[in-house]
Amino acid sequence: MLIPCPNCGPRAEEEFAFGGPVRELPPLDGTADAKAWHRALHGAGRAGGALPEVWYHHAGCECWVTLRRDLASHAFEKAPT
Amino acid sequence: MESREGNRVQYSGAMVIAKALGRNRGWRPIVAAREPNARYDVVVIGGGAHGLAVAHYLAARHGITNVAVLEAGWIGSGNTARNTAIVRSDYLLDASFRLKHFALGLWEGLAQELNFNVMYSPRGYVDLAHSDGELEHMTLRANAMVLRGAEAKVLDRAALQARVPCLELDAPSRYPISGALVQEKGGVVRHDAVAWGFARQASRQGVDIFQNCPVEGFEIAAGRLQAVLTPKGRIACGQAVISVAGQSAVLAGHAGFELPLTPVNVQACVTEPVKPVLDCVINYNAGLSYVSQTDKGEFVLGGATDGYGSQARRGSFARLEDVLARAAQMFPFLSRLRLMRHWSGTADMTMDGNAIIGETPVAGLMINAGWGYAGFKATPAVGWTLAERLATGKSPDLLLPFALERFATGALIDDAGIGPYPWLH
Repeated sequence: MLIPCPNCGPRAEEEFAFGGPVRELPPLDGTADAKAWHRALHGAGRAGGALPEVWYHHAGCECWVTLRRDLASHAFEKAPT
Repeated sequence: MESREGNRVQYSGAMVIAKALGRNRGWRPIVAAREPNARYDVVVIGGGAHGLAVAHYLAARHGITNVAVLEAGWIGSGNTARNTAIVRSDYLLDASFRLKHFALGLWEGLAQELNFNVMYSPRGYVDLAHSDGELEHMTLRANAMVLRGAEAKVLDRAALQARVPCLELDAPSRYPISGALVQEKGGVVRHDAVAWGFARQASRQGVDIFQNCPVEGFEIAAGRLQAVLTPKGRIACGQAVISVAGQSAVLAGHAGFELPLTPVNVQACVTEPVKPVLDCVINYNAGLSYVSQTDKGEFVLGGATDGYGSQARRGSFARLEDVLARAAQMFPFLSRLRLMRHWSGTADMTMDGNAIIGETPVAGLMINAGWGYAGFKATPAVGWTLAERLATGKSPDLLLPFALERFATGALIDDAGIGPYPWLH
């Protein structure tokens, strides 16, 4: 799989560490209840269409990048970052 | 329409010899081709080893035979046939250990029970430690196992070399081997035979098994399951079980609820066959590479997940290289063997790396999912306990910790202590 790093261009997957699907975490001010945290922590990462994910390019720009990828075809599309 | 009479025969050594003398003509199909009834007491969705085991134990232990198993492909064609066939129960956490150790007890008698040779081979499971700290952790795990009534040993380097003579301990290595945890009752079981053995025995007892019959939807009224919808038509049912591994999230979506799962890709491969040299299953823990040699002589190799979410059923070359490099570290002679076959499958990995078994938000609909790449060893225990849940309406104690609600309540069973990062489990 070639991962299109927005800073370095397409690079081999071995250069990256996977950080998982983008998680919309509740604010850390004590207003969110346990249910909201459960949804945020456990609800991410389902299949179906392109999913926004974060990757760490450790062998390149050393940046976390957000990319959308289709889990079945592994086709990437650039996400607005 | 084929009668079930062909299924009723009892297999025996004499029968194998007699059929062989008759050029193996006259074997009857072990799953009869039928049209589905309008209604079943229980519909099992997914004809893998888990689903077929549920059907078998429903009939054998509870006398419930108005059961249908619906399989989208052919039986045992999914993760049942893609795993590396390893069974063991060397788990630290109580819930994980108890379910798998119960399964290990069932594996021992399964060939007799099913009248089908499932080739359970208790050849020993050897889990390598690569530091003194890791060996101490394995000692903790071994002690926990022994306290719960299992057998386990911790070997130092000399004892490990005696147990596995062909293991390379002395090569210059980034991850030297410092010892191992050994469970001699662990080993391998012929996974295709498990699927076919359960299918045949379920079928003999009156269970209907349908292949090429995917479930495309559910009919739910007032929060209760009424029927499943298939290309063979609507099939009404009292209860149903979703047991479809990598497709679990899709089926749950049809039923209108979400599961805390991420699909990941897991690979395995076999080498060309060579003479017997390795008599146990061995697992390299710095990274992951588990190796065993089949009765035919092939080395079976498996590793960790590809490390990111995937439904591609197409492996990452980086992971395959990693698995092979670690296997060659243990057994340098492997580097001269060619790979014969290489495959991958979609594993449904949960947020704590453990399975989800039991009720769903839809009344009458049960789930058995989230086994990731660790489900094969639990097959008979899942069948036994889930059949009991379906028949009695009460979850056995072994199943209670695996309920879906545990993610909302925080009662996670995280053996690896990793957290909600399924691709790392």
